[in-house]
Amino acid sequence: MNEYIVTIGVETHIQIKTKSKIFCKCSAEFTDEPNKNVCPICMGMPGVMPTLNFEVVPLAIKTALALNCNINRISGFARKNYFYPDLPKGYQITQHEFPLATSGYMQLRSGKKVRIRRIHLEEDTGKMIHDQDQNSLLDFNRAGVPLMEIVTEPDFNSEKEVIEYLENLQRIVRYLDVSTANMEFGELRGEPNISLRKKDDEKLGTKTEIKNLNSFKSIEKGIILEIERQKDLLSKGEKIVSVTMLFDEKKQELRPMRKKESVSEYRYFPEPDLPDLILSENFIEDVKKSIVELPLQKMERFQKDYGLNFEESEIIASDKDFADFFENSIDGVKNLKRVTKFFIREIPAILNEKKMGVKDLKFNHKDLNKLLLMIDEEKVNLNFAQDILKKMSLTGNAPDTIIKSEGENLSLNEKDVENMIMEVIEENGKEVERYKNGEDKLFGYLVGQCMKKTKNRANPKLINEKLKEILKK
Amino acid sequence: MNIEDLRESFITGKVSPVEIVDNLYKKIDEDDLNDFITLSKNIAYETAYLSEKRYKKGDTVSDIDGIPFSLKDNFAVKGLRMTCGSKILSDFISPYDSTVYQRLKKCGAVLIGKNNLDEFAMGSSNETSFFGVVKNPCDREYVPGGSSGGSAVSVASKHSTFSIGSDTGGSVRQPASFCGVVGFKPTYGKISRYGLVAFSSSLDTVGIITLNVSDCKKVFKIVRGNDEHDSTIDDYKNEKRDLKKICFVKDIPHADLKVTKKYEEICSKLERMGFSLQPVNLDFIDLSMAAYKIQTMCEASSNLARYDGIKYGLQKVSGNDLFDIYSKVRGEGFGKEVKRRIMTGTYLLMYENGKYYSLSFKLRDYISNSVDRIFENFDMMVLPTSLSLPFKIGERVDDPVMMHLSDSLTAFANLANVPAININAGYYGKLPIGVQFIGKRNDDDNLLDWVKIIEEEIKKDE
Repeated sequence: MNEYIVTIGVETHIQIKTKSKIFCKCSAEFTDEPNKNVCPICMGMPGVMPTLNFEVVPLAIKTALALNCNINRISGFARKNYFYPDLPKGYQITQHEFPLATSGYMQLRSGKKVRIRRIHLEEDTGKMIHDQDQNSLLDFNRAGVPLMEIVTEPDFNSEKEVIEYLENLQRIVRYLDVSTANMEFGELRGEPNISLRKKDDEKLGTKTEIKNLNSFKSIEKGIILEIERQKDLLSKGEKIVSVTMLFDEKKQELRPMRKKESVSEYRYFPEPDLPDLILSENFIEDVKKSIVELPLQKMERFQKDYGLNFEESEIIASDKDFADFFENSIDGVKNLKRVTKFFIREIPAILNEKKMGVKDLKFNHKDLNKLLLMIDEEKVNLNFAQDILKKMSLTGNAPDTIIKSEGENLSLNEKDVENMIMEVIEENGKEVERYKNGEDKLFGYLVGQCMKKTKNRANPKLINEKLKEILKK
Repeated sequence: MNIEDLRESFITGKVSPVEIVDNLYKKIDEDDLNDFITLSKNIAYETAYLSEKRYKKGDTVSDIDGIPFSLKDNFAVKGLRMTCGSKILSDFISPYDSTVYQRLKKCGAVLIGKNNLDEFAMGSSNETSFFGVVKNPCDREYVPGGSSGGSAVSVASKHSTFSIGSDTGGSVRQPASFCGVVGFKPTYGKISRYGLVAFSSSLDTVGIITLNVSDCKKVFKIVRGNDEHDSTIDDYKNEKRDLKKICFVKDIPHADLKVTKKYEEICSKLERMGFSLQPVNLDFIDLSMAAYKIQTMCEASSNLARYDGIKYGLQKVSGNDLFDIYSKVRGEGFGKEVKRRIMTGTYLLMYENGKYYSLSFKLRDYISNSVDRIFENFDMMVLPTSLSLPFKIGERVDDPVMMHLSDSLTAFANLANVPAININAGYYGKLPIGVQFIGKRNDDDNLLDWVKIIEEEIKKDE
């Protein structure tokens, strides 16, 4: 089975998050009721002309810079001609000969650099929907929504690498606020092309492309299936035909879509209605300055500065808002190790349960910071802190308010604690006896009983000290 | 009546805008030249009525307030049919206004209707229109030229005071020449193309047809300039200067002797007017025709792809599959000449034929540079507009090669992106002969000023 080398390249379409479409002023909100956000321009009425929505340019440049690309000072638009009902003009305006950016790369965890061939701007097509009565319906809300296409060189050798690349890409565009990049809405569409060759072959084999992959899972599955299919054919001595395979999510299988259209059939030529896109060095520099710390850089910094391990840093840095929230909340906290799990387990659990982002939490980082400092100063123990956090997420109240409203004082004074300890000692005569006779491990049990008595509200440190003191007597 | 005289009559109350509209529709009907595809009576009466009220109050909005005009039927007017002279759009109602129309409307001008044209502006005789041939008012047996044939006829026969046409390779100048009126093609990018149905986007210009150069200047001033919908606009103007040196061409191959004779007369007149006249060589003319054909056909094949019967226009519901429906719609909807150009353009754009399209760009650069070099030494060029006089209806229908030659003295101005204007030079019998003046890029205003003087001089002799 290892006799073949797998080679994969990826084309990714990402919707650029702008208010309006790329060549007209219609809203780019394509999930509205069908054909609500359309005008003569994006409908391809006779006589209309496109004008570039410049908002897309800095967003695409940011992405290109994050992927270490060269930004071309002059790029141009072209027409890709083909007939399809969801393509209003009979051609798609894209960039062909002169793309916005070229020659970048992304470094994978293994250290391998995947080369980015080009990034170019283009318009999305409409959508054709088939209803149960076999009617074909057209929705042009999506026609003209801005897209950037990111094309890699065939540098991947496994589906795992492709997934890592796409996950990184998704994080990057979200960090840069370039796209919401939800795969299930088609805001990020990854299309791998795959070829196999024998180890000693220098030339790449015939490649096939997979489309209709709407999740990372589907991409992984699709690639695995296609590798299997090609291996099968090759081992039988058959040739691979250049086709586009369609992934059927329900059946979890691939089927050929159509013969790959050759370049000649697109009849590319420069778009005469749009002037070249000319960018100044200053403009590019300006955009460069606005680029925030990227996910991989942030993960590295978190590992270095906060002693997080790789997985922890990945979870926390996966979302920029969450990472910011983390950093704001731990301000002044000395023992980070103790509180990290709040950001790995507790808070993500709250967010997942309500399917919301960190900005939708009822409490802010200041209140969380108060709570974390109390843990740090051992004013509350972790169990109690978890209870408080839950209440904060439900009520939005500050941690001290919650503690007060429970009718108990956090800072039980020494006298109170002593009294409670005395009660515990009275109630647990046997255990105290055994402890005094040398069964040291019972100390923990007694501390636990004290904590219970104080309903988790006493400072564990204080209980420790006082209990020891009293037991010595 | 020209704009100035008509406005004067409105001001003095000799005639009112509404009365003029009445008269025009009567005359259009009587003359029966087929120069209109659609009459916009509702719009015309409404705007004329409002204009009349403004004249009574004495607060008109512009020099062309109340002036009747027409649009070639490849310009969009909201709510009006826009056919482009084609069956495929014969029932199409535009949902929006072209920029040119919006600007004229804002100035109070009165839209009379939409002019007949060669299908999708492809033709030189107005014989390719789905709505039938237009007759030349000078002699009804002759073609009016094209593709803006209806526009030229409507101005020549006083059905509208001015008309807006489009000029991709001579489509405003040649019919103006055949009908004895003024036809002006500005530098590319001076007038917004938004709402002009594209034939060949890199060469299409909005042109103006009027009775005299002075009217042309007035209309040009109103419709020109930046437009948020057209990013190819460059409203740069060369500095005002005097006309001194003019160049002309000694031998024009394929030219009709009656045309060259009139041309020589005009040249001597220019000399008598005191301008220096020197011959130049236009050896790039043949190349310009090749470049023009390749570029326009390639671009047209893409520009006309949207007429697929899916969203609007001629529709066919039955077919074996999608592509069967496409071929039915397009096979039935487009005429012969349009299909010929789409097929040729599609073929030329195919990957394996890529050399032709890239070669046409090189040719275009070469032609552009050659023209620029001429204008380093001269202010203006004088040239016949057409190689021949108007020809008889039907005479060249089956001779596409000869028909395509009609553009040979006009198309290079589009390729080199310079302004050019036709004015009437005189007549041979009933048939008009035009002369063309070509200026340096961005010399539009200078060209109009200079040609206005020459026009007055020519008229003195009549």
